[in-house]
Amino acid sequence: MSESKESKIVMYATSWCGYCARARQLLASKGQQWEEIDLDEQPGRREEMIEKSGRTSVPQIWIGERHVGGYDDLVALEAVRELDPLLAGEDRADG
Amino acid sequence: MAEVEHRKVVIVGSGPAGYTAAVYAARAELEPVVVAGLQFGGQLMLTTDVENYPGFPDGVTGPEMMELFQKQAERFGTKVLLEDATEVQLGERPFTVKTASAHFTADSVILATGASARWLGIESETRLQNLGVSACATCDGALYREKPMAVVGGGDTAMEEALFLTRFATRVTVVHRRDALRASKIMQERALNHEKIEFAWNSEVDEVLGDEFVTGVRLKDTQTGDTRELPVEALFIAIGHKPNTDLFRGQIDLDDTGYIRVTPGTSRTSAEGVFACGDAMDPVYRQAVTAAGTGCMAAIDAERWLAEQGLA
Repeated sequence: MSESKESKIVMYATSWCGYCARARQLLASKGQQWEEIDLDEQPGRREEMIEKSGRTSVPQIWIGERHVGGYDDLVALEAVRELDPLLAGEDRADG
Repeated sequence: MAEVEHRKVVIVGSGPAGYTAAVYAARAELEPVVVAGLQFGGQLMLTTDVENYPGFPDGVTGPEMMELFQKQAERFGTKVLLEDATEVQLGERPFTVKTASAHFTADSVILATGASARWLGIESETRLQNLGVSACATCDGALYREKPMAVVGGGDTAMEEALFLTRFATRVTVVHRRDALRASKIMQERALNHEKIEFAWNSEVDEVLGDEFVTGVRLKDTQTGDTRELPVEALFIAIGHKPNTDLFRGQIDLDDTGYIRVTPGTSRTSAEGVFACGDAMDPVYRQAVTAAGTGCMAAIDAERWLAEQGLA
């Protein structure tokens, strides 16, 4: 496994949002770091999130090239044990 | 297979009830583990401002409060596992609690699994979830600035959501099946007097409208059956809760609506050594502070029971 294989994580979030807080804690518990785009501070980037994800809710999370979705989607991956491999960069991007 | 780990106390659930039970159990040196679940922190994670929890005169946000609860439990040696309980066996001792990666046996179990928001259960609601339909105003409200929105429900949660949404919405319509609210008086007054909030009485959501995103709701009059369309870009569902007790069904006594039955004045369930606290056993008060209070009761009841059994 190469050093640079770990997937980069991007999360659109707001400061009030409990699912965002859960996503942060779950990712942190797995030793992950991520880039966070705060839509309270940058409301103009909401349109960009909707365009990229097709969804209007937060959080919206990308792991590498893959749009995972919200916290429930993150949990669904964890439930079938696909989250750790995806974080480790073992998933083929499906766009 | 996970190695089997034995604990004196396993706590299932991580809202104010679960974490308070953990603080007390940990301070009693029972070395509890909290199976927090992936919906850790419970319903308070979806609450903006908690203004009625004593000790926070300026209020606190739900997620902040739950982080503090967790830290306090961990400070005294509680182990917190961010995984769902997948199997709970309460029929014989020691009890067992399993998760995806862990297998615990336990001398006593504290059930603090709380309750979850109910959904309307119509197809268009499911199809448009995350596309304008939400059960969490505090999560998604800010995303619909300067748009009209609606909230379904007539209780405190619905009023809280509607009041929160007035920060962003041009207008918030509260859709309620009856012609009177269930909410507490103070919340009713705040909502009824708010200039941005209007009420659709005797109305239920017949369909959520929109192809890609929510564009409106079709409301049906519960008296006449007439329908009308209300243009909104977001719909927030706040129609009550159901206790998260499916895992325990058939193992301990539940009431008709699924709440865990306890001996009045205690946290004891029908299974000796199994204790319950918080919203999973409380259809009446359902407050953070009462959940914390019953969490404390459950830890003390468990500690005394373990001592009686010579297990503490």
